[in-house]
Amino acid sequence: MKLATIVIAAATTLIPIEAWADCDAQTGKQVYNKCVACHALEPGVHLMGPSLHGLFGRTAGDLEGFVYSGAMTNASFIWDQQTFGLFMEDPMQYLPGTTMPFAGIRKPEQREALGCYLAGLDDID
Amino acid sequence: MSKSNEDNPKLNRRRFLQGTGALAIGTASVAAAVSTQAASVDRACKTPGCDYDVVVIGGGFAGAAASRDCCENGYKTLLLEARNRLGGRALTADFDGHEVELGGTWIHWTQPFVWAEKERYNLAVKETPGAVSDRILVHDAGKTREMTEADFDGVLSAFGELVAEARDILPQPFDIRFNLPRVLEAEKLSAMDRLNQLDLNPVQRVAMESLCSSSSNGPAEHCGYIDLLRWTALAGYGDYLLMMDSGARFKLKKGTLNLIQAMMDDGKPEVRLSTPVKKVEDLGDKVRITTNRGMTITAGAVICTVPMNVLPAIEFSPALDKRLVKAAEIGHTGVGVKLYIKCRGKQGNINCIARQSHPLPMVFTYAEGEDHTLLCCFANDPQAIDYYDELAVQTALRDYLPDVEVDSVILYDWVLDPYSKGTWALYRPGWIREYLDVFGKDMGRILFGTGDHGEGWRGFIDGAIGGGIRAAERAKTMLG
Repeated sequence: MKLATIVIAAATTLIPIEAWADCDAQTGKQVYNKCVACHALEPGVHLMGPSLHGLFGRTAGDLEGFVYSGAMTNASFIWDQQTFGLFMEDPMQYLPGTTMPFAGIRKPEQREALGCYLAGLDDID
Repeated sequence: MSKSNEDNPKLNRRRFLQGTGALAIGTASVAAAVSTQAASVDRACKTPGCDYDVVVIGGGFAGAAASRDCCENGYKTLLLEARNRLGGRALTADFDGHEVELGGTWIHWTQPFVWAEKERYNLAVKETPGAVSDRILVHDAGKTREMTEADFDGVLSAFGELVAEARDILPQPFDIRFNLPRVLEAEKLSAMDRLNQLDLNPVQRVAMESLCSSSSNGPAEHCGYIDLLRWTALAGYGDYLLMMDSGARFKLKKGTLNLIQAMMDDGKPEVRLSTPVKKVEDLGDKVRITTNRGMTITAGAVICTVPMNVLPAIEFSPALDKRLVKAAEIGHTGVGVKLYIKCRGKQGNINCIARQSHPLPMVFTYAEGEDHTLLCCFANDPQAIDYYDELAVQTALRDYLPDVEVDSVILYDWVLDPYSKGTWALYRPGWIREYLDVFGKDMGRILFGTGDHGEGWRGFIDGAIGGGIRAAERAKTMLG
């Protein structure tokens, strides 16, 4: 990870966790069931998709040991509450060329709950 | 931060990993459990001037069978897979403690290729309870009631009438050309056209619509009547129970990927995951394969097993017949949804059916837990409801089970997946007349082995294995 990325990641990591402090992690855990076939939560465990451990603050397509689509490899955004929400609403529209075959989570509260759940896991670590 | 393939050191490492096929090592979950660590038996290449004798494109059942057989035939074989896992349109996942098959699932002894593999590798099967349910709930015109024995007799009768011509039209269902004039006449109709020719009572109509749309994983209007007859012919000519058994009763106990693993362990082909292919060129004395990341590989023969809807994504030289591109653009019938629903409480061993316009026209018990029931469902219109939304699914399911509470749902979107662009392939009306000459036809040193085409159980795991095995035999004939 380049130095600039580390700085940005450090600056943004706290934001989503604070913003999601009072959200519905239990619902988020339930929503995560939609992801479970392709994404593990354990660090370094990659299925069809990369591990979601430590997602927030990470640069998209930058996780060691996982081969991303060309679109995700070339993406430069950082995963935070906003980018996560936009991506999960319609992944293939937000990032054309992604090979993640998912139509998206239509309900904003479900996207929020999923992000909250994932951010909460990071927080525990 | 901007990244490019050229200046990203991690990507260079990825390239290295791809080159060694080592990416599978880190994937420990059920979903990507096929290991390629046992790969790479050092075989000499028999084809002069080539990197490999055979390159197989696509690591589903067809590709796994083809690459295993090519290895057994003594050829230096490379299996290229676009995804980071083997299995193709079969994917086993852990869903709240249950192992579920999100893609291809069921096998049967009427299916010669896959059953031979099951016996060969001594793999156990497990029954799906709902294929032989204790209760059948029929939803129609806003009401639900349990099917009676008299109703069931009527359903058997309706099915017999629906497919009565199967034996006459398809006396040899593994050879579609055997009675081609009758086949071409019959295939003018869709499954729905045929259904509309029958005088059915509401329960019979619901049962047949549910069956036809579930079989085609799309609207019954899109499914050729001949494909309904083909499946019927392969499973006992109108024996309704045998047809249901062949389609949804027995699955591999340790998961479909267990069979892929057995094939890999047996043949030990070299495998490269996460390696989509960009171009395949027949150079006359060899074939050149170019991957999306610019790697070039030469081989004496290529066996291409990618799904028919994906085929135009690869650039071929000589070019693909335009009809193949057109068929891929139209797409086969498989555009629907396979969904697992975890609901609270013991719902029993049930089968729920409705007309194809219902969001859940086919539901059956997949597994029963202490405090919950896992239901497997097929739906033919992915836009009917938001299938990722538990509440929407619960509302639809309550047409059958009024008080049911849905905890969670899981599905995999094979239609959006760029490496499948659909579920299983059944042909649309008129496709045999239009495409029989080009579907699966080899082009020089480029051989085609997808399970979407070919004779017999195409569209099933059995058809995929058969397609791969046949292509490997043709490679042997070509390469000597």
